Amino acid sequence: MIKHRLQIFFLLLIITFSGFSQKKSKLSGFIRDAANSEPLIGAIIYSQNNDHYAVSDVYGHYTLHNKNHKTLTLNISFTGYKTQTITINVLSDTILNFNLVPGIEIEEVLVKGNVPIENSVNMSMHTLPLKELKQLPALGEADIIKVMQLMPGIQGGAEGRSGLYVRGGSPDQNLIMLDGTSMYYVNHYGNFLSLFHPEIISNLQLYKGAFPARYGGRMSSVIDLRMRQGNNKQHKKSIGIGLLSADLLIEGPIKKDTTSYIFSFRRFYLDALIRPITYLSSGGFSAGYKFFDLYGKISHVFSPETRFFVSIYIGEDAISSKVNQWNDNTFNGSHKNLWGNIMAATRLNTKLSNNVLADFALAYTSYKVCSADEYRVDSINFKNHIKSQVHDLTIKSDFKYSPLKNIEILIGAGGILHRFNPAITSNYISMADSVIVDKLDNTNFQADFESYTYIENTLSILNFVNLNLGMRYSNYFTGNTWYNKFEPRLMGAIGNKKTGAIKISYAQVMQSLHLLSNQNIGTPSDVWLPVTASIPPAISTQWILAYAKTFFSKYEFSVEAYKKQMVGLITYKEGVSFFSNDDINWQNKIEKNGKGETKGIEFYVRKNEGNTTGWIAYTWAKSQRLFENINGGKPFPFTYDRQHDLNIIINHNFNSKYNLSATWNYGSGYPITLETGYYKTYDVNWEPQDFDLTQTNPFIIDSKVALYSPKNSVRFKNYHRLDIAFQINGKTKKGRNKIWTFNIYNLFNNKNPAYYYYDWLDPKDKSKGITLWQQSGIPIMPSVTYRISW
Amino acid sequence: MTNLKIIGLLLVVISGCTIPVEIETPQPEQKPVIICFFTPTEPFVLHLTHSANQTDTTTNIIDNALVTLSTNEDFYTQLPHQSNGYYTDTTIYPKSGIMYNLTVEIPGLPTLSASDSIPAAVSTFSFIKYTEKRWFTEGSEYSGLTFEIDENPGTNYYEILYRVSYHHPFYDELTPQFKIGHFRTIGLADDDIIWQSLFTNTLFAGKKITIELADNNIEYFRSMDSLNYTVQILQESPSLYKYRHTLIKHLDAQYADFWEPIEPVIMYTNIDNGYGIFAGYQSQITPIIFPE
Repeated sequence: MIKHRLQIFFLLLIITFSGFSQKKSKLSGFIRDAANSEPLIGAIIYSQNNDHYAVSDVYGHYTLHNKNHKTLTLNISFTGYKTQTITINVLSDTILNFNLVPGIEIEEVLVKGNVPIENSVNMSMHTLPLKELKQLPALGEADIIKVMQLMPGIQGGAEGRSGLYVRGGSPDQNLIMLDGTSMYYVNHYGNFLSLFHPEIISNLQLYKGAFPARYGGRMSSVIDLRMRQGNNKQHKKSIGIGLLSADLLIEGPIKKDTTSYIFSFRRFYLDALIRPITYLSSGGFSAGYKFFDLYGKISHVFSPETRFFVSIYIGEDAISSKVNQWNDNTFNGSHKNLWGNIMAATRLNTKLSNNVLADFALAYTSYKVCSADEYRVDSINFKNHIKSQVHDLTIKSDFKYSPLKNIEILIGAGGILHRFNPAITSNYISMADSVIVDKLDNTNFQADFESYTYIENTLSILNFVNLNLGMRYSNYFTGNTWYNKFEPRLMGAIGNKKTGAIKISYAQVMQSLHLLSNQNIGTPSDVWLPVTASIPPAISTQWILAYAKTFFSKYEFSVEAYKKQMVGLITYKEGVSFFSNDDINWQNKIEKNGKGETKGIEFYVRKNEGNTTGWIAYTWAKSQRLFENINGGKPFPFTYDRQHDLNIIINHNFNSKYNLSATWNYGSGYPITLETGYYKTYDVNWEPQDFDLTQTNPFIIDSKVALYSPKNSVRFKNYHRLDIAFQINGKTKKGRNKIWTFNIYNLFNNKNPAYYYYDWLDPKDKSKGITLWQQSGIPIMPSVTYRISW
Repeated sequence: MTNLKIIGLLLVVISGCTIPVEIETPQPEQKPVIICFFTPTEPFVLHLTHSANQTDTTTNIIDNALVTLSTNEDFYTQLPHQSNGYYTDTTIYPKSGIMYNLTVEIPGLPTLSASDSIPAAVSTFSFIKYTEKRWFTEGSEYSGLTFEIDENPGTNYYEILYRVSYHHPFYDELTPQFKIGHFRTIGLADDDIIWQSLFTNTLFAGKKITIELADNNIEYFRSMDSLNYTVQILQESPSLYKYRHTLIKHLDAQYADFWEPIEPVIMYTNIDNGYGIFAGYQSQITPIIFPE
């Protein structure tokens, strides 16, 4: 049956290749920012003569086909830039680059800065304008992941966090790529901030489903972030200062118009506040938390059609404590938790012919978690280190072939060499000059190989039917076990501007990596683990039915219904946490072969044009999990299942100087498991009053056994929060650009639940009994940031 | 991890607050609870209560039940209620190797029932030697006490504890305590088969086994006056072992908090139509005599 389906599918792909031999002319080139030559991703070049258009890709490249016209009148547009209109003669294949000037768009222009949603086969996809993102309210500073949480179908988990739960999926099911390279660790401690500094990101696209075949390896979402390439015309600097962090960005040409650089460094300095407080309050003990993010990119233009990029990211979180001469002056020690990513990628992007664009990449990424204790008592030195690491080496190539008007074929392949060291431990003890213990354990590593190939074909028929047909073949080799899967990807849209478009999608994805994580706080306990011979990959299947239409030429409306089924999920066993040392083998800590089902309906209205922009997103959703040994083998709601979720976002530019924005979020409560009853039972009588050596019974009725509600059957109270931000743009006396941003988080000071627990209503008067208490989340919280650039 | 919690907690304390809250919670099914561990050296004692709602602080004892014990060999008796939900007959002692059947009839409720037996005692449990302090690889010093078990054939389930009492020089009083020590098996490929205080004989069934208690408090105890130091081994029925195993995990999970959430552990029970446990065990105690 599967073979038969594959045959039909490949037939469809082949059919779409027909007619390649037709002769026509073609216009191609790059669309860039005139000020700094940054590529503009998603810009539109529109032919007024034949109502055809093309969209620039992640390198700013476009290809526009022309069949009958010798002269073309073109509009080149992009949101936030002035539209260019030119008329040219096209007698043969022509290369033409465009540089757009930033500015307000002219209202009369026929084609706006985005592809009309009726003409796009894409669904379940969002592109977030970075400029608008930076103007939205934030807790401290703007964060890309938190803005994504305002989109339909996406939950953020606990309040104030950068968690990402897309259509009932868990965080490890999100493929988050920076310049095409996947990142393991994407949120700093506590999930209050993500790694991605908005100042260095040029573009991001979020797919919640309907994944094109070029993406794979994760089941719930794809987030494709691209770093800026740097200004290749003049040197620029930018400094941002907030209450808890500061950042510096520099960019400029190494060789004008040819080679550019951009570097950004961000430092979180909570430790500077906490260390003095802990030191003064304890007399010798100090603790603190800090992180840094360092981004860099160098871009070189060999020719107008060949470019080379080197991207790096280095980031590290650190929680550390020190004790100096504790109490009796004989104890000195330190404890550190370090964790972070390193990413380095090189990429060559070139045109092999007029029809074929190629992209070759070689990338390295690693993720590590370390815990280090070092202390000294008298003349004895102790050192204990634990380290968990993942290293990936990726090589891949992608080819884009544009043989015909409205047909684009992507073909690619890649391989990833994974190396896992789940827990390397080292112990060292010395007394005076003699070494007592010097051990290094668990140095064995697991090396796995992952590979894929794909073909993807985007085509448009009579400007009324748009298709994206693809197939991905994924492999994963671990030890002597080989997992492989054909993953069909189908997207189709029927309709036009008048009727609106009905869209459908079907996608299967195999995921070969699992994350064992503390879902609440995103601590350095996140451990990425591969599939094994006994733990197979997870596989998801998602169906989407959607309708999209633009109303009054300004308001994009879409409604999407989806259903996603997942198999091969894992979770912790009952009573097990990452920190428990009951069993060294992590495979014994997990429940496997879990199933998940999520379904929902998402409504989305967006206004992109004019002084007032924003969107309204409403989601109804239901997400469940099923494990044989959890909840008695009965299905239970996913931890971040939110049935109703409403987001309203408004952003208003009064003029070029003042901007006001607000976001309001309302959601039904997340599910929790709550103690509902108890009884008392025997436990060891740890402190017997009457000690009798001959007494054989060590037990006494003392311990309290809790009776729980069925798993996740209780709901938190509903959630709502209003945030506002006011931004003032101006110039300093030296003529530098400055931006003041004033934020108020949770303006209504609503007490949203963080967790519940039982305790005495009045500890001084226990006759009032026990009641349920709520620990509330973040109350009203003002903050201010200042940015200067020149 | 402690540092993480401190800083995390600080963030919440700075920014959060607590309020009483009312939400709809499902009411647990009220069921009778039977707690009865039995061993040959003590008469049957059964404790009978109702489970309670989370906010209920009163003890829901059941004093009107008909508690019956029987075996397959013409043994039949009833345990009368004494006080506070305890049912016992001080003349009836359980014996090893016999399957006891329990039925509890409570007016208006389905009959509760359970069955279990006492395993045979190990033939040898003896203290072998004391070892001067050494170093753990984790960085702390310990002293060792070595024991030997010559066990019975079949699958056996053990729990091992030590108990200590001494006169504290400052408080001048006895400070008796039961302890879970760092017990480990010696001479087996896997010396980590003892989890908390519990282990089975899967790796050494039917053979002698040497166990070492590695304890960094021994030197401290030895410096105290009137030291009484004993080690106790319990040979438990499979039901009791499972109950104890689950209870330790259950209690650990109860102490989990927002910063280190653990999936709650549902307690094991061998009582039909109720909660709790009816299970047997053997106990042997060996005193430790430290060299002068």
